Amino acid sequence: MKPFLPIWPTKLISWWCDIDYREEVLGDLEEEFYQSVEVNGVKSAKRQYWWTVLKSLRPYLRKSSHQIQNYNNPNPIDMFKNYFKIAIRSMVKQKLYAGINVMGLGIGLACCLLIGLFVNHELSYDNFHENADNTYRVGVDYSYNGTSGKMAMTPTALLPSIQREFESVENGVRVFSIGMFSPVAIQNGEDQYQEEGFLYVDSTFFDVLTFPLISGDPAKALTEPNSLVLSESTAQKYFGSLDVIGKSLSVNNKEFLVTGVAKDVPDNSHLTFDILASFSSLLSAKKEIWRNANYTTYVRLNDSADMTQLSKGMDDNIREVMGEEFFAGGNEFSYYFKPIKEIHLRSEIEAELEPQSSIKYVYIFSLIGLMILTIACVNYMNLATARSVDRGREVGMRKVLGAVRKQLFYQFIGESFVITISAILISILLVNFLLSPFNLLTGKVLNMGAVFTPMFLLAILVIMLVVGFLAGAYPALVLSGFKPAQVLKGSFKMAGSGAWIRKGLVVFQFGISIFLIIGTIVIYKQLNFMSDKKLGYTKENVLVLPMDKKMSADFEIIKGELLRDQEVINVSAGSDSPVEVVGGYSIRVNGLNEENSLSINAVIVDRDFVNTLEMELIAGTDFTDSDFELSTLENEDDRQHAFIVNEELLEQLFISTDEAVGMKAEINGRKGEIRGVVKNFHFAPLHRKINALAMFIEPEQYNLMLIKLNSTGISQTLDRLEGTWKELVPHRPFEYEFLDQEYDRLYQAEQRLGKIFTVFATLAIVIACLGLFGLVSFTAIQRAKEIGVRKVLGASVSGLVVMISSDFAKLVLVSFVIAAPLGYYAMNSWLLAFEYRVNVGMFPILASVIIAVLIAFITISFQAIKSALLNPAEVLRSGE
Amino acid sequence: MKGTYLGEFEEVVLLTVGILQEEAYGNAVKEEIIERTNRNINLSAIHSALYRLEGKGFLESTMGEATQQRGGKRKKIFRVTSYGQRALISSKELREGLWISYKPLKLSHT
Repeated sequence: MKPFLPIWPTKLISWWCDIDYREEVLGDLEEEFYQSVEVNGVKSAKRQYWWTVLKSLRPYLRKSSHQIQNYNNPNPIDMFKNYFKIAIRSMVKQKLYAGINVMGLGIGLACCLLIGLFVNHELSYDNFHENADNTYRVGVDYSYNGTSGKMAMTPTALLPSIQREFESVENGVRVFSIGMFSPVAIQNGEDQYQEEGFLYVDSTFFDVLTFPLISGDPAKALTEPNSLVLSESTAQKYFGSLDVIGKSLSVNNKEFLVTGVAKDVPDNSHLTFDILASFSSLLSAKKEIWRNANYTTYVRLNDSADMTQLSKGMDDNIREVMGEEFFAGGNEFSYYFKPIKEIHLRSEIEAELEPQSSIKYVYIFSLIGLMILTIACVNYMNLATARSVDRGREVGMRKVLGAVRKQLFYQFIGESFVITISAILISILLVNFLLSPFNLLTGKVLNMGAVFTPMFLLAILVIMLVVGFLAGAYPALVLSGFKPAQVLKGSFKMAGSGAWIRKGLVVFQFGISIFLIIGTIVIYKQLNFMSDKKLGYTKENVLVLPMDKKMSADFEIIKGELLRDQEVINVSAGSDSPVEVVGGYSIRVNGLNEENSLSINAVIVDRDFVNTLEMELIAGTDFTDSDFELSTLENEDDRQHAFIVNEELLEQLFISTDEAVGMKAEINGRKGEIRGVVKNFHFAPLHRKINALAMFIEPEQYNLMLIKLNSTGISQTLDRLEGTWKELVPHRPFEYEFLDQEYDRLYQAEQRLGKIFTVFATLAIVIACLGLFGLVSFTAIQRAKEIGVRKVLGASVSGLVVMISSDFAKLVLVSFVIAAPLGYYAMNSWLLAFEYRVNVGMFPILASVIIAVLIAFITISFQAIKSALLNPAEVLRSGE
Repeated sequence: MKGTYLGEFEEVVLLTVGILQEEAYGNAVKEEIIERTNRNINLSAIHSALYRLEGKGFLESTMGEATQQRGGKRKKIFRVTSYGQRALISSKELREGLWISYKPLKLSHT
């Protein structure tokens, strides 16, 4: 009987030996074993068998490092290498398309990154406060005599009272931004400056809000009256060093001692300051007053604070303080807590300490960014699918050689990633170059450092994955779905549905571009309207200078001296600039509304205010000399005021212009009569309707001086005036602003939006055109033979150009039909924010379509003419 | 170059494959070498050498027929490639060249 092979060594060698060698090696071993059995006997043969097996357990029987190709188990690395190589080769071969793709996507991503930086910065406001989540600003929700609104102004008494009564209020600080009303004059020896960023704050300031000190004790720096904390750059400005503790500065002619230096306020703080002064320096700090609300209150609540209970408690307090009669007739007055982090974007308050942004703009920006990125992605999708004819054969070949659809899908997705990664690198370069113009545009100070934060890099990675996948998925699906037999036979034609989607994408791109063009035009239309608007007063050639108490006292002398200059037409003063009057008062007219006073805006003026600003009186007269004398008497009780009111006020009180003149009236205790009626003028941004307004004389309250100049030789006049000024007002610098500049500042946000729309609309259309260009040149190549045949048969060049272009022109028109109503609607609702506004009208719509068609046509015709001019012989001869 | 070097044992295996012609598979090569050189050689050494030579391109292989004695498993038949042949010839020429220049030892009669 034939002996059996030993089982264990056989198993061992089978396990060790690679499948490719197993058969022959085991065969040899078995053969040797039976030979040996015959010669040496079973025992010896078995021993030899064991020995040989053990000696065979060496690497040469493991997986092949030999040339023997292993077809069952292909090496995926090689495949990927090949994919990569093909991707690079096809990019190099089609430099134009690859360039369009990478540049288009790069520009799109750069926009996206910039917008991302912007939005990120907007959202980061006030996050740096240590207790940002528990810090609130107290706001007031009021409704008084028919006007209602929100404000962030609170009386001095509020904070001490709520700290006493509610345990959940851990700490708080009152801030009085005197600089907001009129800049503070600061003197250091000979140097004098005007400071707007001047705040009076409680000593708890540094505890409630996180503004680190470089030197000085945060707990004590602002306890003593007349102490100052300077910001780093202010300290440098005044003393040229940071070692300034113990030095003194004169603030409005009063000596203050520097007790600390704070780091400069971060650019993402809603509250900014250059100089902080102790609240105890103020007279008003000595008493707790409820009636005068000029202070901002910030509080830190503890974690267990119950907001509803707190507001209710405060409401009860208010009722007690204000008296029940205040709330009669539907008047409301209640406090609420605004989380500090929300102030910047969701404040809803018209009179902020500083102009704040709005979440609306964050949304608009994000939307634009997304749109542009989408356009860029669409480009990629479009070009990649259009080029699929080229790649069709490759796909067919790969499929014949055994590639499955999944593999091909990954191959093309991979190519899209190669493009996306290149685009991201380019976009980072672009951002680097574009950052400073972008900062100019948005008024921010962003830097590249913000790009290289972990969060942002992660975001870039996510964008890369999403864009790479989204842009690549569709072409990959189309390409990997080709039937090899069809493509290789050569009868291959682009699928009808593919063309449909491509056309849809072009429509989408141009739709977005048209939308942005409409937006841009409408914004500029409104901006033009606002700057050309007849405001009811003349804002040109009027100088605005801040005033202080000393100047107010000497005003008549200063005015007289200034008027001696023959180029000075008029000089006046007022509590507010006519550009924006914020003062709120209430008026009672005898025999009309003695029960319910009417709440109005009022501006305290000098007697030449109406003349200086060239307002139009429609009834009565300007202030007379006797009005001036009577309203400036020493004893306030003896004063007799004269009021000039606007038409709106009469309308609200249902008085006719004729009967108004001479009527007795009272404004917040000031008795007098209506002297004249002035035509309505815009003393608020055009967002708001003109409210009732009164003007009266009261020199104690002048905040600014207005000087009307002749329009000729302004710069010489200014030089002369500066000389006069130095003699008249030695304690204040001659720092002025023109009234029309001030007016333009009201619409900074809109102007910014306009610029941004221009830039992004341009970009959108550039990217869209890049895509269109690529697509058209591709079609031209595809239809080269057809064009050749047509030419041979007698088609004219112009006819051919029209033929090639009209397909695409149609698409642009279709996108217009879709985008125009959307643009119309969106811009119409934007305009609704303005009380005084333009109509969208036909012009922006028509202009947008003309611009889009024209640009598209130029893009298309470039290629169309090129291919139409081609010699048909060349095209038709080539054997392909 | 590493790939073209032919070791002594490799040369023997390569030549044996050339001798055996159509019968040049692992076990046969081993038997032949044992018979001719009287060296005790393990089958694993033969396999290792054969695969190495194939990797270098000196040998190529096809699957041959199966026999009863091998438990129905096929043989792998090796054949010397022309490249392998050139390597053998150049190795032989090298030796011959050396032999020509070789001065045989003169035995001294003491």
